[in-house]
Amino acid sequence: MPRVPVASEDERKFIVDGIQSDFRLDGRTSRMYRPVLLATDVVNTANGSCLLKLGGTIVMAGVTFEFTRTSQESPNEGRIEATVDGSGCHSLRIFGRQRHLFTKQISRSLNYILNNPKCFDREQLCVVKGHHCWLVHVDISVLRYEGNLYDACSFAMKAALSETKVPSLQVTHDEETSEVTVDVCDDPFQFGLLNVSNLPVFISVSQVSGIHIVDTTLKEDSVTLARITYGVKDNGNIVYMSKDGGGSLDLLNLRSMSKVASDIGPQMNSLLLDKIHLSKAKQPLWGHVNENLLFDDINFV
Amino acid sequence: MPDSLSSGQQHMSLVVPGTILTNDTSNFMRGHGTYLDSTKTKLKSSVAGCILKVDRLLCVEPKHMRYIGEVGHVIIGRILKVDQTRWIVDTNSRLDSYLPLAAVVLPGGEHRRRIDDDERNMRQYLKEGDLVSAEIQIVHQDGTLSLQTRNLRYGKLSEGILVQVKSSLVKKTKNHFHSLPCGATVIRGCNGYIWICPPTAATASNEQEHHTGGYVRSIETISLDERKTITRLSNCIQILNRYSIPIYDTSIMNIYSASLDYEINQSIEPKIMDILAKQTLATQENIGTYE
Repeated sequence: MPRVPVASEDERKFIVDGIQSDFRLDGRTSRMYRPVLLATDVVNTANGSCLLKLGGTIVMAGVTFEFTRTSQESPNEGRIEATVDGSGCHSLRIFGRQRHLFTKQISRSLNYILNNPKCFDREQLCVVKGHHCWLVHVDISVLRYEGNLYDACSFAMKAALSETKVPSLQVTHDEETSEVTVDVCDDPFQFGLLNVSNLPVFISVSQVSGIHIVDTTLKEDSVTLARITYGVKDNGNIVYMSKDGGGSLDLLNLRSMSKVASDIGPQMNSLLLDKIHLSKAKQPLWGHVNENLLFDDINFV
Repeated sequence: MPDSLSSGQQHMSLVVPGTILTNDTSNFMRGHGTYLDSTKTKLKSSVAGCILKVDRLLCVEPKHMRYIGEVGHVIIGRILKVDQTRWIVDTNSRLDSYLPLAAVVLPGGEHRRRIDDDERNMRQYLKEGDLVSAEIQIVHQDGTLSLQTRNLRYGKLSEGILVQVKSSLVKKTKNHFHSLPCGATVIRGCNGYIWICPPTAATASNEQEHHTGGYVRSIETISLDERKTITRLSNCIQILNRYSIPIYDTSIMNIYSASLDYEINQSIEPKIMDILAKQTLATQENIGTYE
């Protein structure tokens, strides 16, 4: 959690008082998210992409495929890895090594849920068992940072993966020579889709003077002492947990924070799913190339 | 950001980097934000912004830029460091600004020479992270600003919300301290920092006795109603900034009264923001105050 001086002592008191009366700096209640806006299929060169705005935080996710050999440990599984890059972001006011560590922490969390077989089925990325598989890169870049990067990154990743077009391949197996040939299909409109229905989203719950709030902004981060990021599935099950910040938490707090996360998790999951459907319907309207459209909120859902 | 709201004429003068401003280089002079291309036959824009023409001089004023100070401007700054005899202040300008110890009124309003004790106690008055309202006293050769808070109107800011907007949007007027009829005080810093706080006696009346320079901390907590007004104003000013509408007391009040139809937490939703911005522009044009 970046700790930059964004508020004076009196400002902090104002923020804490507001949270205690369930009225935050922008009028939200403790369990409200900022508006989520997303547009899918925004990058021509990626198999799947998504631009997501969570209030002022803007992230862009792109999914690309690479053809590679399967690993020895898991011969019938493909590989997937997520990276978060914040190097081009001016509003992320952490510099040097700290910035790298901050974004790396997020990509590590994302990789954790991607490599959990209960969350993401990597067998769908296998092309020829024991031979070839896809290596999927999920590249997330931070375009603007105004708090709660964890959740924004996981939303963007889920949206981008659910929209990803897997290139279709023709696998021919020669019985006599036992040679396997893989050909890329000529038709660009023939593609498969990934199953991401089990993929959790991150819900970060912060504790500010005994009250648990979600989706903290940059200013609210300055009064947050402890934060837990939960990975919550659409049925409310928690599959991932990581603590952030120096403050301590007791068991009672932990329990009520998990309760908050598993309450909100299904809501955010279904909201995201709705938005992805809407965005997919909107895609043919504007197709590829026109990046200018991204500056107008009308093109987001 | 949404530019579709601005009128047609403004669209004509908006340029992006690389736009050819003129082919007639002999009759125009190269101003700020422009450059001659390698063939020396075309004058091009080097920033994104509005064209400004003064006789033969051609300039481009960037839309997003760091604040360029002028003497007498009211600004809001955040203390970055406490130095030997001065505070180093962030004022959204290219270089850090300075607030010398000699340029503040000491608590109690004593007028005397600053002694070593004062230097030692500097952190008690203002420490890192604190916000101050101040006036620009000197603009140095390199653009560094020297500030002063000699008037008791200026000084440390207590509880409230700071909103950061584009400095070009803050309309320069006679008064930058407004106590709005909706029950809040707004200080529009020319550097794009806008401070919203509960109404204080200091700005409500002109009597000097009420001014404390902010060094006396009040222990009263802010009521929920006041907090709601402040939050609504802060959301409204952020909408004005997003839609590039000039920010001054009338425009703030216009958008505030338009936003009363909605809940406060609705005014961060893009659709509502769009409606509010359009309503504000419409009322401004009706009254004829929009420039």
